[in-house]
Amino acid sequence: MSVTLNALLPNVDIRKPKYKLDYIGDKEGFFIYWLRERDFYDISEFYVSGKFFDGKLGTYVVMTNTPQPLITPNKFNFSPQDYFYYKVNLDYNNKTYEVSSTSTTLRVGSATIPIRWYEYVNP
Amino acid sequence: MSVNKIKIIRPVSDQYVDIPIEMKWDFSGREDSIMDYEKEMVKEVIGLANDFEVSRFSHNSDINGNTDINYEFYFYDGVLPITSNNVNQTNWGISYINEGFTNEEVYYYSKPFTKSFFKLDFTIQLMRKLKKYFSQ
Repeated sequence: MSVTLNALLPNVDIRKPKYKLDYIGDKEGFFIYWLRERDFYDISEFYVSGKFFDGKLGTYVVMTNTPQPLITPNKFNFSPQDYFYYKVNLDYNNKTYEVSSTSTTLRVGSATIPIRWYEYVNP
Repeated sequence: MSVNKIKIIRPVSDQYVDIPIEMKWDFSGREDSIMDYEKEMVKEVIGLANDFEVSRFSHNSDINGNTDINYEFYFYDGVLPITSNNVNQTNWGISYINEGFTNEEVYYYSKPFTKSFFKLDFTIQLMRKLKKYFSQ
């Protein structure tokens, strides 16, 4: 995104909080590094939570997988397992992973259905 | 009249046959026993050798063959109090301005802006409790 402050200053490019990660280009965070064998830890299912560190306030912002007004039964009182996580499944044979929603179980992460994180605001 | 004097009587008790088996102790196999014992003790003291090598897992391709993974982070604009009934999905936007950064801070790459970051924590589920394993 190109940002303009005023007409006298040149534009600068900043990165919006929207990321496309792949083998090429921005690959930081694209790969997951984990044990290749399942002898020590036999884990193939992870739950991933999202946070944003606000360098201005020095605090972490917790994120949910659903906009807060749509959270049920109450936007301040709900099951954390359902709304603070996405599920990640590892495939040890192909060395790949997939991300799915904990509430809908549908696969997410594509360009059409990205992994969306929403700031959670306490009352 | 001559008759056979042999009389066959059916026994009423169980019959047994004694088969002698030689029970002789020797030292054959003792070396193998020591080696087995040695392995057992090493396992007991230092544990089994584990493979701690890591592999690189990439995002699986979708039905269109694309491997890219897309994230979007939305921040609350704070226009209305969060407790308001009028708050809806449109109050969340893909903008750092919503989070409280000013245009100047974003334009000039101020330190608080560039030192901010997103963090993903990977956990496993254990009896409805989640234990963190690694982060990105």
